[in-house]
This record gives sequence, C-alpha cells and structure tokens, in this order.
Amino acid sequence: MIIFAGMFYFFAGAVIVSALLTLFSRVPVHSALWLIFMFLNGAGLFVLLGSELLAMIFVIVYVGAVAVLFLFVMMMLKTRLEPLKMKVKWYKRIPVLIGFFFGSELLFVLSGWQFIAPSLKASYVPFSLEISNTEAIGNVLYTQYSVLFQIAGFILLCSMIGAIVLTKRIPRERYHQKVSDQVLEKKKNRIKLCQVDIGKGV
Amino acid sequence: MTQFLTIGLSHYLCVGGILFIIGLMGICLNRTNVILMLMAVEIILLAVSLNFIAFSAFLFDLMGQVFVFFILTVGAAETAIGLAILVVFFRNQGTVSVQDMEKLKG
Repeated sequence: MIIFAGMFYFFAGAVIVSALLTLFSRVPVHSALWLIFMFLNGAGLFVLLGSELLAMIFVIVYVGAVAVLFLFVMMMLKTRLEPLKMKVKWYKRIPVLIGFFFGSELLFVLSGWQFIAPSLKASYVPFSLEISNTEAIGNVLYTQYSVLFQIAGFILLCSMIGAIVLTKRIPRERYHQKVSDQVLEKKKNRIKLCQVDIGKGV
Repeated sequence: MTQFLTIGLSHYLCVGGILFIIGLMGICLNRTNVILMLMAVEIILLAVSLNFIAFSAFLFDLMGQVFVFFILTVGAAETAIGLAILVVFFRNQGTVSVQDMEKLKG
C-alpha cells in the first residue's frame, strides 16, 4: 500500500513538474524533452491504474512519434523560439479566473466527496479479471467498436495526406526542352516570309 | 493519514485537473510561440486521458480505455496537421509568433 502510494505520488509530482517545465523552460528543445518526460510519467500513472496497453501505446505514439515530430519541426523552422512570458494584461487574467474555479472544484473533490464503485454488472463494457488488459481491450475493440476502429484509421490516413499536401512545395514552371513539341512544330507557325519593298520596311 | 495513503479516484482526478489547468494556462498566456501552444494541447489531452482511464479503472468499465484509444488517434492526427500548417505559415511569413498571425484574418 505504501509502495503503491509512493509510486503514485512520485509519478503525479513528476507529471505536474514536467508539465510546468514544458511551458516555462527557456530553450524550446528542452521543453520538447520535458514533454517526453511528462508522457513517460503519465504512462507510469496508467500502469498504476492497470491499463498497460494504453501506457505502452502512449510511450510509443507520443515519445516515439509526436515528440520527435516536434523536435523535427523545431529543427526545420530555424527561428528563434521565445519562451513563455508572464506579462499580465487584462485578458491574461481570464485563465487565473478559470484556474480559481477549477481549484475550488478540486478542493470540493478532495474534501468530502466519496466515490462508491458500482457493481460489475452495472457497467457497459465490464472488466473480466481473468484475462489481461490487452486481451480485454482487443476483444472489445475488434468486435463492438470495429467501425470506430476503421474510422480512426481513416482519420490517420487523412491527416497523413493532409500533412503531405500542405507541406509539399509545388515546383515553379521551368523552361524545359520538350522534344516532341519541337518535332511536331509546323513551319508556318515559326517562319514568316515577307516581300519587303526597298526603303519602306515591313 | 490513511486518506493520503489509500489512492482513490479523487487523487487521479486531482492530477488530471491540475494538468488541465496547466495546459489551459499555457494556451492562454502564450503569445509568442505556436509550438508551445501545441504542446499545451498535448498536456490537456494527457489530462483528459488520465481522467478517462481513472474512471474506467474505478468503475470496472473498459469503455473509457477504448475511448482513450480514439482520443490518442485524433490527437496524433491533430499534431501532424498542426505542425504542417505551422511549417507552411513559417514559409509564408517567416515567423511562428502568435502575435503576427493577424494576416490570417478573413
């Protein structure tokens, strides 16, 4: 119990600290690295909650793909990326207000709110404790939500096509030598024979 | 003391809420850097996923985990498209500052 609680507090603290450092670190590459660290610790929290599959998927997708994409774009942009500044203007007080409301709600949650887990039969897609988490999700994902799964794949395809179309540089029209046009060219289009009178010009 | 040692649902919800506030703060305070804004969106997505998985684990219901799977898909697609738009914008304008984006109007 104490080990579990200690791990939870370690992961939670690391997630929160690295999220703050993501936003406030001076070098943008550092903030991308803190983002990676944040996702690793979030995956730790997922493991504590008993969903190993999603933890591994988070590590693969976010650390392996998304964070590398961020680093790649930062390298490509070659601009001076400035860190977040705390100059308070009037419209910047709105997040403070939102944070105040959220914080008070969190205090409500921490003080007297009790959560009573319902029985297994009441849930929509119940756990079965005999099989592993991966197998359980696979059983649901490929049968009950197979259409959604296909749509998710289609969304990824669309995003890939969209990213390629957006960033593809369309080459300007250059003056190529077109041999077929040269061969097919007629004489009358190119050469004009004129009878020029002396002293008048064309 | 036992309230702090037995990790319940509310602990996870608090972590999710704090992460959500941090991400929201990053989006609202940020006026210079669009990449940081996208990172703040990722933080918010992590917070939402944490809430979903916590409820899924404490309600003994797999639906939340399946839903996190789809959130992950949409989040990855959103990041790819957002960064592509950012690259195109930088090519046209030479900057990624949020303040210089008034030319996107209309």
